[in-house]
Amino acid sequence: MRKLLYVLGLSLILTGCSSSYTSSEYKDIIVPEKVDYILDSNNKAMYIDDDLKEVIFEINNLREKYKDSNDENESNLLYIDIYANHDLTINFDNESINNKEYFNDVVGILDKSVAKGLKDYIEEVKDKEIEDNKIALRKIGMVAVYAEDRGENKENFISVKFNFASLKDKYYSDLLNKVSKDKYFLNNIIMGEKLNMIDFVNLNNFHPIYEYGYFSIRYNMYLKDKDIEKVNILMQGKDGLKLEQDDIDVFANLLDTLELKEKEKDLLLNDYKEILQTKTKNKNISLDNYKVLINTTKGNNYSGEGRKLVYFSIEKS
Amino acid sequence: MNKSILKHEIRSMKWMILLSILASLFLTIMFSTTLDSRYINIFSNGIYLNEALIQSVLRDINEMTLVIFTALSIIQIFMQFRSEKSQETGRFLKSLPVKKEEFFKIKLSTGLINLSLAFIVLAIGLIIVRANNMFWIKDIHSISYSSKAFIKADSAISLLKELGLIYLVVLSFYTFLFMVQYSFSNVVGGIVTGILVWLAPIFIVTSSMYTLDRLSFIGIYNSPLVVSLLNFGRWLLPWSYVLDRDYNVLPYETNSTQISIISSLGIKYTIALLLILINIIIAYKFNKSSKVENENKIIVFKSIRKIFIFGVTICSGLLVSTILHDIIMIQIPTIIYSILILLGGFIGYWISQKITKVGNI
Repeated sequence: MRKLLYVLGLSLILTGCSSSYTSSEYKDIIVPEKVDYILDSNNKAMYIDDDLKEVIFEINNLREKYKDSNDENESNLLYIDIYANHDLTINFDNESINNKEYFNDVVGILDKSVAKGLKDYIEEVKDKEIEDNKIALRKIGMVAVYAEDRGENKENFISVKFNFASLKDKYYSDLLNKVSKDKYFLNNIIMGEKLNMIDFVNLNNFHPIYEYGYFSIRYNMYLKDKDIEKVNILMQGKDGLKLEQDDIDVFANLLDTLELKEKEKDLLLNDYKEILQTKTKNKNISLDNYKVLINTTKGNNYSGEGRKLVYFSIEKS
Repeated sequence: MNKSILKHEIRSMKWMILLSILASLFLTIMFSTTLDSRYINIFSNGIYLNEALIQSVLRDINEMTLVIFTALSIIQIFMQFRSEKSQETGRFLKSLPVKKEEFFKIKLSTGLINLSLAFIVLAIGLIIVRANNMFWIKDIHSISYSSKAFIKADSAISLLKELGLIYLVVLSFYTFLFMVQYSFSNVVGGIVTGILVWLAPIFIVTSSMYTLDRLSFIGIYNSPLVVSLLNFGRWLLPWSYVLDRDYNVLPYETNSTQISIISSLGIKYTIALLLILINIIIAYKFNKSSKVENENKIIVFKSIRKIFIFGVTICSGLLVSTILHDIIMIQIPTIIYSILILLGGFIGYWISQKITKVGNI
């Protein structure tokens, strides 16, 4: 009898401790007004330049011209809703668009405004000899062009992706330009309760068709108002791969924006350049104002084709 | 504790211990690989959603954990009781100068310790995997719209609380089957009956509501009493404690992933603990009052036999009703429907009578 009461009492105490684990405790932590404010900030964080709006309207108006065409299914005609579209990019290729004239018209519009030289480049690359298992990847203005030989004695497969969003906050926009210098593409910005994050990617990561023969790099910059609290560089590539000069330049630009000594900058730049060249193990580096974590082992077992993942993180200490 | 009985029990349990620990390691590996696939996804697609990652991966693992450990409990009961219930070994063991209580205590403790060990291994494994992944998950928390809420949802304590509930539900099922074994003289029969009786309450409530609705005695869709009774029915099946979640944690709708928590955790903990306690007490009483003369009867106690016959009759009738209503779904006149239910009940009565008469002189 005593044992029974003892166990009953214990179980009541245990449940007393866990009774706080209900949704009401979450409702106490979350302040709805704060959340509404943050969501609102997120909706307003990116915007479309007036000039780019003109470009988008021109592309949308092509639908009128081609909607009765027999070659093209109306659903393949591009339409960008600038108010509803959260993914502020458009992506089209010469395989899903059957009508050559329409494809060339869209290319022409982009060539006029945001990607000077796109028309000539596509003419050049569509019949070019591209080796098997290799691709041609090029950034022209604000546009990324991907070309691949898919055999079958026809034109090369060409895919074009265009990013038309910009950051509204002038400070963030300037910071992004300082680091990227037009070499990388803005992917996203997230405004959070504690930190804000700017997400920008290199050419290979931007294009939806990945090629592990090239480095795919994503920068996540975590900022508290105007201070850079942390930068994560997420890289994918095959073992032994070398970085392109553009990628090294962007990293050097990033180091210039941080409070680092010259020696520290050289050290980090060296580590970055060699990242998949040497058998880099996981590293933890303590600098004066920052701590650096390099992880090259996580996730490699489950990614195929000899793909390696590198998590390179510089955090304010 | 009698050392030789303990050795005998442990010898038959060593494969169970190995199997349980392998199951825990398997679940830990599943947790780790799922988190890794989310990690890889962030490299390719970036961070978009406000997400409590650990918690959302754990949701996937929870159901697997419950199913695997329920199956392990069933196997464990079989391994523990098969030697006792076999004619020769059983009679030999009963002729030893060892009290019935000793057997009971040792059997129960080895069973509970085995399951507890497996869950401890699982808990440690999950905590280690979580710690190894926090270096990238904490970044996602810092950019969420309420970092406190997401940090709380992904904390080690939340993980342990959920795991604790699964542990208690598994233990309550195990002790329930343990208890049923002491009122049945056939191991497999006892296991099957145990599972059916475990499912019976929720089956009886939902099926009888639908039958009464079909017979136009009540209207399910009209009566709020019936709706609340059907909701109450979820409480009659402890397996649903793990699966029922509250998604209304966040104060509004977004297209982000929500935080979801197991609702009314405190009450569920209490019920599971009480169930375990009641099962152990009843099993102890059954063990104490079992007599050798009743060994060749399938159901050992007279009162249990009566409950068995009553239960099988009702459930057979309701089973016929469920088959007609949900599976075959033919339109038949109410009178034929009622006759078929009564026929089903009668067949159930006849079968259960035959079963209980086995072994009677």
